Amino acid sequence: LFAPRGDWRILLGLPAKSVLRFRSVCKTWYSLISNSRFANAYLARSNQRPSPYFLFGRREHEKVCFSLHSNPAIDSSDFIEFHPPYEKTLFQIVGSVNGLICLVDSHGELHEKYYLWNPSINRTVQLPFVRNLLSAKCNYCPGFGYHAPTNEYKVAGIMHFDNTIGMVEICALNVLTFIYGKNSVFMNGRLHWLAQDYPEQEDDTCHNFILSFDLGYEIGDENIVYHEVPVPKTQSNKGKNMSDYLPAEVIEEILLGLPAKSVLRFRSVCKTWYSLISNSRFAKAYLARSNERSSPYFLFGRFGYEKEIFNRITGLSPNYTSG
Amino acid sequence: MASSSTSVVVSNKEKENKNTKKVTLKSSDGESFEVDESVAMESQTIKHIIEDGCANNEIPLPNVTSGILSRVIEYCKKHKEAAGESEPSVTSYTSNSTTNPLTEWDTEFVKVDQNTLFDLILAANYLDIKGLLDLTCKTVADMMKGKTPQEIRETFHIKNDYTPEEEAEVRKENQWAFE
Repeated sequence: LFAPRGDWRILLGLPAKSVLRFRSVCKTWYSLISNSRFANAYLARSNQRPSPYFLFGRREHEKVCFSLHSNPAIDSSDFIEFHPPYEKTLFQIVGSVNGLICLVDSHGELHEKYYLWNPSINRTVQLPFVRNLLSAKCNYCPGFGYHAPTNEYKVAGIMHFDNTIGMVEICALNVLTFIYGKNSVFMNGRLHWLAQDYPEQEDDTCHNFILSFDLGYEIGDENIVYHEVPVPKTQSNKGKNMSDYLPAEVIEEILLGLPAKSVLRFRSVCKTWYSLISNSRFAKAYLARSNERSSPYFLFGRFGYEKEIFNRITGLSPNYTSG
Repeated sequence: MASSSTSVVVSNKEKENKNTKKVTLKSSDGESFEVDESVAMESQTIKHIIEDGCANNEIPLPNVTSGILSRVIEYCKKHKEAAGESEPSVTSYTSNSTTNPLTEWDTEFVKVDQNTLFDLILAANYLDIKGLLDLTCKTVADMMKGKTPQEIRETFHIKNDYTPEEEAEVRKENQWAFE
């Protein structure tokens, strides 16, 4: 029997279509081939071959046709043609990396749908790309790239408005995070943004980094390369959720030491805190704690059970009127 | 835990250790710490274990790691020492006296990263050491003062489980608190 461990490298020499087909040989092969490690090894092997290719998109009437040329300068007849994944869509090439082609549905001015297409195995994936937040007119330039350190394919778009800060939107295929950039700084021919991506899982925190693009790119350039510069990690990275980590009685203890205004405000931190603070037991404990202090308070009674407790505790000044 | 506690020092503590009783505390990761029994009894939890006669040789503390336990012991030692050096008097942990010589030491003691601070709170809570619990909770409270709810969430990594509509409702309830 085929021992997956030793001999799997044989698969690396096969055409991609075959490899994919062999996933249905047995479950062991399926998991082996579906593994990202295998994919990386396959890619590395393909990249060892010397031939570069040129991809052209040609629009004929309402259709687009792609052709792959090995060297258009010398021999313009050596090419293969293939059709885009969806017949009816007017595609534009955003970029190509590692044999993946990023296409955009360029119907109309706003680029709504992005696709990632692997023509060698004829698989297409639509990217979950939220497009163009502002309907204002702007120069929008998308790009497609691959970020090796994190093994992510990313579609990036720069938008430049008339005389305001440019905005960057990036969608990373692997992790489906969405990055917003702001506060751009121009330095050394590059534009830099302070960017933040959303946490992948609930426990993760936002990760800050500096994103920079070279201003040498023109509108319509494809394969825009961007760089990520990590910023020093602040204490807030890898932090524990205080509300989960500390028991309720401890959080109560902490809140009891705060000024009333803060306590009330913090009801909107999360629902757990809301019920903790709104609890009459907390109100009584707070009152008891305040009574230990020597400063005088003005007491007002007010409608509503909850509000009454709090207004007694907080000692509103005579100038306060209800909202 | 809301009641105030006082620690009454009846006699001056001997500086020499030869006659003082020791007790061994064992952290969750297996490290043993030998401390004076009187220092260990700053923790009400440990005090009850000793008084109930359950101490034997070692007191296991499965909820406290060695890193945190060593700090807690440091705190207890320092506060026990300070209490011992003063005149036979009543030392109140709830006093806000600025002449308290430990204030500065305490301030330095809690200058740790957030996760360590939380672990100290948990240890103080589990071991029932009122002074340490008050100190650490106050430190966190000070970090929270003046912050908006969003800043609280960011600083302490709390997940916002409100929908935007729900959040708007809550804010409306006490509009003035947000000014």
